[in-house]
Amino acid sequence: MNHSFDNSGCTGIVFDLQRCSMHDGPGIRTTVFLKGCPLSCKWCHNPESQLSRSQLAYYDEKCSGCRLCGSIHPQVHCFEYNSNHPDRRPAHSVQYQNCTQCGKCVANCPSSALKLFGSRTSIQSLLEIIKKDIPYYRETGGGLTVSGGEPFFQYTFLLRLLVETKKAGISTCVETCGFVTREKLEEAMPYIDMFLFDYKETSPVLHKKFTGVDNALILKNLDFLYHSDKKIILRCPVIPGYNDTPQHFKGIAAMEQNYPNLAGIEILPYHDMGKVKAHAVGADYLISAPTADLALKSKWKEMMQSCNCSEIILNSF
Amino acid sequence: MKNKITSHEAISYMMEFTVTHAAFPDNIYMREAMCLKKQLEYTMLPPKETDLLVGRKRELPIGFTPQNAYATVGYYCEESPLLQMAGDPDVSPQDRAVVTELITYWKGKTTTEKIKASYTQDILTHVCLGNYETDSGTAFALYRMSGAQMDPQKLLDNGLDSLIEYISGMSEKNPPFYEAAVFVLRTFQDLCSSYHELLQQYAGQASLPDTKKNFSDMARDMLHIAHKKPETFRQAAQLTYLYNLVSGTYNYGRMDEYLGNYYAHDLDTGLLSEETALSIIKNLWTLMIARNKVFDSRVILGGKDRKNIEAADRFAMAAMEASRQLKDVIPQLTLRCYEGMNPAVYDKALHVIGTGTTFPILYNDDLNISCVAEAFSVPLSEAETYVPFGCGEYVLYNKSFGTPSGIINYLNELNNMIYGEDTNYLKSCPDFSSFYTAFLSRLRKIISALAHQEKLEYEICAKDAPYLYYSILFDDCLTRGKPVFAGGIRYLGGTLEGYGNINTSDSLTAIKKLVYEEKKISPDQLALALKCNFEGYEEIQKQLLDAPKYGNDNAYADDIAVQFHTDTCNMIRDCKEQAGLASYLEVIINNQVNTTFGIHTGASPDGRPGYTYMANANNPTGGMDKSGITALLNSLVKLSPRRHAGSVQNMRFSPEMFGPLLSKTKGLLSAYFHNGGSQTMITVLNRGDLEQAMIHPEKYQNLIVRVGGFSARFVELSKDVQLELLSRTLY
Repeated sequence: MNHSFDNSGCTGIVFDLQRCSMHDGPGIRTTVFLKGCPLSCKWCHNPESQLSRSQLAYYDEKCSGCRLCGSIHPQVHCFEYNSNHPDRRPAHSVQYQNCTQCGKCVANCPSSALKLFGSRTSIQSLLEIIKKDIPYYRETGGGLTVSGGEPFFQYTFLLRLLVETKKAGISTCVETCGFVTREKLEEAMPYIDMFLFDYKETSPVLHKKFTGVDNALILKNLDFLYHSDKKIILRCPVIPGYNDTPQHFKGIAAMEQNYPNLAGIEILPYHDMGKVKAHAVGADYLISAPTADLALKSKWKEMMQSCNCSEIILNSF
Repeated sequence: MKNKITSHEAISYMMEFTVTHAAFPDNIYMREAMCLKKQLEYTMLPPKETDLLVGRKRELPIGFTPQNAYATVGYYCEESPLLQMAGDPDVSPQDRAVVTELITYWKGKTTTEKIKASYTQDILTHVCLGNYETDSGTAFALYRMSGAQMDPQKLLDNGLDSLIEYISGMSEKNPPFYEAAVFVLRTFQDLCSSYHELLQQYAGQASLPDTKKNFSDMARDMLHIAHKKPETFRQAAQLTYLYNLVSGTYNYGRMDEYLGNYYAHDLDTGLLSEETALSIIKNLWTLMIARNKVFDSRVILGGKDRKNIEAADRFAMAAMEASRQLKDVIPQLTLRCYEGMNPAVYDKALHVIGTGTTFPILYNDDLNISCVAEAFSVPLSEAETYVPFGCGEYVLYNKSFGTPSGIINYLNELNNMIYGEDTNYLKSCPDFSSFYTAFLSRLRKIISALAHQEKLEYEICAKDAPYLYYSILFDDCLTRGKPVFAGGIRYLGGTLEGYGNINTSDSLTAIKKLVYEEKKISPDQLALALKCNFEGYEEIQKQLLDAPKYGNDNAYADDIAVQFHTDTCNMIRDCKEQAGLASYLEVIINNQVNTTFGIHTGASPDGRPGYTYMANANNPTGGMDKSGITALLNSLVKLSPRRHAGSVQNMRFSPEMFGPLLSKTKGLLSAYFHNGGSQTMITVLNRGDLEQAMIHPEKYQNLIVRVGGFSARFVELSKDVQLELLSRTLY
């Protein structure tokens, strides 16, 4: 298959770009985060990525109460005098549903309390940045990682970005939840050197409960990629009170046995960095557990050991 | 030789020193030789019981030195410590009268005063005579002959007797110079002999057998090196360190090269165990630490031009281990790296850095040698001997001198043009290019005055003294029959320390974009906002802060930084002819003057609040590099190192980068060096360490950080400097 596109007008909604990413695949990488996801994982660490459109975020601790945003968008930014506030500044509430994402209040906020997650970005402008770090990719075996959200959610944009990146001689990696049609996967596969493939929960019922979708398609896709000899690192988020169960740990061990040629299995212990972002974009965040500490991690390691997980898994976190 | 001397003894000595000085009004050679003899008698200290080498000294308020703790040069007389001494109730009225007599004698006779008295009107117009630590201003002069990086090979190969014989035989060109050189070497021999006697006495008195043996070994070594060339590692270390100490230099040259063979030989023949050798090196470091000169104290390791790479590398490994174990801010261990170097040495360096030592500082030979050749206009064969001194200024080992005698605050001058004087140049200049040209033309005048000041400083120093211990070792001085600063050294160059470079270029960026191109801020608005330190003008400050900033691989901001960097480097370099120096080069090396200057500099157009630190050297303003370390590195390498004499790149990494991610970090550094990175100084610490150290300093006594061209214990730094460090990005 050989794709050739005119990318001049091709844009996608990108909510972050991280250069010199050390944890998103082999070597030093540039990670592009695309908006939109078909899943709604309760523990999502990028809650600002779930909707496909851009989103306004508000950080209360940075707000100086100057009300400049209120004068720009009174329908979005409301202020009420609050004598209980530690700074005695007016309480600032955001009516997210009224926001049109024009970004004007964000640009004018003097204390950087407002941010817009997601902006329309062209392939061209992304490539310009991605190419800047070619020497670092070469030296370390790194490249581009597309993450999200779920990258396949903006499929056309993803595919074109991958094709162009490969054309520039840069290795590619996609971090995916695996909830994607076989057609798309097959079409994009030749342009993806490595998959960072999420394995969130073994039980189909719980999977649906935690993420909103059943895991049958995901598992089929994983099997397909594996038998197509793709390089895959299985990434397993472990969330206290959700999937830190012997059943799931056994499921992880089974993956290791069934797929001995995986490029790696990594445990991603829960952290609560999504919480602040969820509140900032006006979304719910229901997990009350704190970031997994050393004691909890050791407990998990013991459990995993008794569930026959290998040293590689135990040493991955 | 005593550990402590009374005020009376000190005053008597200073009187003797002064009388000696007065006795030779017309012979600068004998004057220095005799003064030094007197000075050594009173300033050299006995070793401590744990010392394995001799090498401690005190500094008194009157004396002679190329550079000292009081920031003066040559013959110096420090009034405030003298008056303090005189105020001591134990001091007799007679001694008090002597102090007054001393102060009166030295008025106008110290080298620093002579330099100041010689200033031309041009220098007086452009260079502030005040104190840069307390006064606001754009340009200040520094008084010192710093950065002597001498090769002691001549001493090691010949030994003192033969060296004296050699110099005695070459008297035809400048007899008084050679006589004085021989005289100070004999003084040095006498010093070794006194130590020999003292150590024998110590050995006799020692009760513990180990201490007894140590002192008698030291005594034996002293006797040996007083006459003959050293045979062992310990003798070689002893001779070279003592000579450096006596000479007054605070930089210790390419130690792996000059001690490597002795080290390897003694280990291979079983004369020394690795452990004992390490103890000797650690003691050497301890002696340097006692001198407490954190801005200097360079020990150079590595370099592709070394003749004895294998042996030198073995010493280098041990030197790095000594620094790892001692975890101190001294010496400033420096490793010249190159393609094809012994990977074990490089890995050791990264390991030592990873443990939070901040050393060694890494230099990229594959790039720097050709850059030095270009900047200094010397052939590659000489450029390959480059060594950094102090906070990172390059000199050619044993062949050049380049003391930084001036410091310039670019940002202050830019502010002056907008709101510091009657005219706001933003109003009178119709476009950015004319504003920038006006800025450069103001800088040109100041820089030219600083270049002439540098030359004058050398001339006055040369008229005042031959700096004999330097002149004996530095190349060409003996053969030319000329002292180091009087035409002896092959390349007498100068350097100018630039500060606020990046705040200035970011300010220019904001001016270009917001005032001239987008016209979002008017010249009057900007001047007013800056004058008010943004109070009531927060929106303008926000716009300024949001303007593109250097350090993000952003072409708009980086192009202006490159332009300003290139223009200042060239402007400074072009002054060498008119000033009559072998080279005159910018150094963007930074100690903590970025903060000292910053707290006397008002708000700036880059959005920086007034009276706060400026960014360090060529590094982005702390927290303004928001695009990841590869973006930062890409920005850094855009500033060419081909036209200056050194810049420093401070980087801060989390321990993870030197732990599980080490292989990626190695690749990162390697790509940076391949892309044109000349140098890096790495602090490894945990996120939150610095915040915690400010709250609970008692728990972080050993947290070492790289400030600018020097390392420091974080808790010992001033709050302003701590805040500057806190602002820097951790990767």
